[in-house]
Amino acid sequence: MLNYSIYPGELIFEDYDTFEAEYEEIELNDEVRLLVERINNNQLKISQIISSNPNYYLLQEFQPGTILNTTLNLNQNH
Amino acid sequence: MYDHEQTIRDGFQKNFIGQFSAQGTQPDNPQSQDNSLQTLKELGQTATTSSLKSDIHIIPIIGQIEGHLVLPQKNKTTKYEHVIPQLVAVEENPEIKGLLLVLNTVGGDIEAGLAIAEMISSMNKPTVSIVLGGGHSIGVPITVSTNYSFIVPTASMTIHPIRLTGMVIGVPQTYEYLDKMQDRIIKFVSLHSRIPEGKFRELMFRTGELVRDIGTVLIGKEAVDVGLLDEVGGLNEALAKLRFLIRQRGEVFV
Repeated sequence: MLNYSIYPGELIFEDYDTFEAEYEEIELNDEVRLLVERINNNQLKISQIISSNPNYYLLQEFQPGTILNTTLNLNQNH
Repeated sequence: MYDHEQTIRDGFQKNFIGQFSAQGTQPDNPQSQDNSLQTLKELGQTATTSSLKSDIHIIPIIGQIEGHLVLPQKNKTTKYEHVIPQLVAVEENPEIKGLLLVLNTVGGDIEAGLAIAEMISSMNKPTVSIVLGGGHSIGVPITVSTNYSFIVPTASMTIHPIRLTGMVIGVPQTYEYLDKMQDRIIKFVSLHSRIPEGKFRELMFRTGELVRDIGTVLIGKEAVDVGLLDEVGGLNEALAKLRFLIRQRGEVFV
């Protein structure tokens, strides 16, 4: 990979080997799925929107980094 | 409200709000008095921010441009997989008339940066960029990709050669490859700004300017003087230019 940045690579990729994120995919409806990162049992952080409808990407509710509070424990579903 | 967007919001609420609720944002549903009450309690106002409509959209390009690798969490990143569909939505949505791009970036992935730059340069709607703080490295092609570019007097842009991270094989082919990658950036920048290819290459390989590297730092007016950006100015100038371009575009099509 080619990085073109004024920050040195060792600074950007520091902790890269130990950094691990676990993602889950949740389906909202026929058109949109969200890739989320679990913070704890009740909170999910949106990482990516997966949809072919471009309008979803402009919705404030779906911006990456948004934290979703769940009232359901998703672990029970798995 | 734009019908399609309302449909999406309704679907979102039906399918999602029952189970989850977004933190910091309130669902924009006039039927739900509870939400309005909550907004009133928390923010001291009855209208939620999502009901404020604007005919221009802003996309901030901040931190690292994140490409094919997910960067460690301490990096602030701009994700290309999110920005690119946003650009499509801005171009397609009839209620959006123009795009303001705000840059404060240290650079990042070449392919992701060039992808964003190419998308913006091929948009039909008026686009204006403004550089605040810094628009370094791959931020340069993204800045020049808009119809008109501004830089605030104190912002800087660093132009330097590409570096390779990780294992580098010391053969002439490595340098040829780097040269090819550099050419992609140089060609894009010279095509979308007033700066000639040779001049940009000279800035990229200039010695004696940077402490630990070769290259050039351009501050405010210097970026305009070399022909890279169009004008020195802040938010007021950038918005005025965008409004002017929108009006001009409207006259052509009406």
